Amino acid sequence: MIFQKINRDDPEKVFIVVKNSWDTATITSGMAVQWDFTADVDGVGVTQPTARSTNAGIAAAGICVESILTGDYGLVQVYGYHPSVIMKCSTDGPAGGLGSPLAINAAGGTWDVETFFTSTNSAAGTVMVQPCGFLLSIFSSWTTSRVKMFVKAL
Amino acid sequence: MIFQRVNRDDPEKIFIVVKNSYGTASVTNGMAVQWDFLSAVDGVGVSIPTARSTNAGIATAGIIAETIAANDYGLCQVYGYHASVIFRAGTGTSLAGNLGSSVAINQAGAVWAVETYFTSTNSAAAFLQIYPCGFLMSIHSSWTTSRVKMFIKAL
Repeated sequence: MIFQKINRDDPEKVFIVVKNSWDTATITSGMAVQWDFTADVDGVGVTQPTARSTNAGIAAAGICVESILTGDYGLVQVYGYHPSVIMKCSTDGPAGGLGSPLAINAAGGTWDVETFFTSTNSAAGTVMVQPCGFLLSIFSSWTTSRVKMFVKAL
Repeated sequence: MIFQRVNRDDPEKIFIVVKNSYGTASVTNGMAVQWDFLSAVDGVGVSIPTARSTNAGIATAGIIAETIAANDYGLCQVYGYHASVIFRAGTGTSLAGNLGSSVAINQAGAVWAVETYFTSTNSAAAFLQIYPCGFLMSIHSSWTTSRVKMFIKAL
């Protein structure tokens, strides 16, 4: 676990070391990853998110900050500002505004975070979702984009 | 606070030092404990969980990592993988514990276990805001407590 202290405009952050247990490809900076609770199950391996219904979002490990080859080890950010996180707005979720809470994507199978409904004023009804941070950009499209995010995945 | 760096297959973890303020007995590895907000009230003492309705689960301190005698000090894990946590499935027809299920301190209180809980309105129980303390890395579907693998998120 690495703690970066503030240095003028470079904010405080916390990183952990993980293993890329996704055997298909390298994971890269900005990708949202999930603890591997189906194969490795050791608290070291992270992989591509599964459907959020399997874990309500709490299995989010954090945001990858460097390229990590398959089976190799590298850094994931678990706290603090990240300037380039992969994000999209869920088709049945709200637009992303400044401060919008973000969670691992609902469908699974992609490496992004999404907005989600936080009240019963929605077509989807209330489902308890654990966020992993909040949005520091404005973005409203289903097509993924890079956004600023404050990560809270500890 | 102690930070364990990853060492190949030994994962990163965070521990805190707590006092066992439960005056009756020792607490042991795998027990879920709650901050003592009734007697010690000092951010050091942990005790047996009370009914979850008293705190919605946010008062969970973590999972004990070693035997701590009554009124003594020891380690409590607050983040990362733990291989042997006391768990039982929450009461309800759809609360079986599956891989990835989010878990919280037990609902009734007075036991040292974590439980699954309802996360959507598609349930027989009324929807309540509950703060989880991690997720399951094992499968267990019984009300009877068992030791399970869990990833703790209690910071």
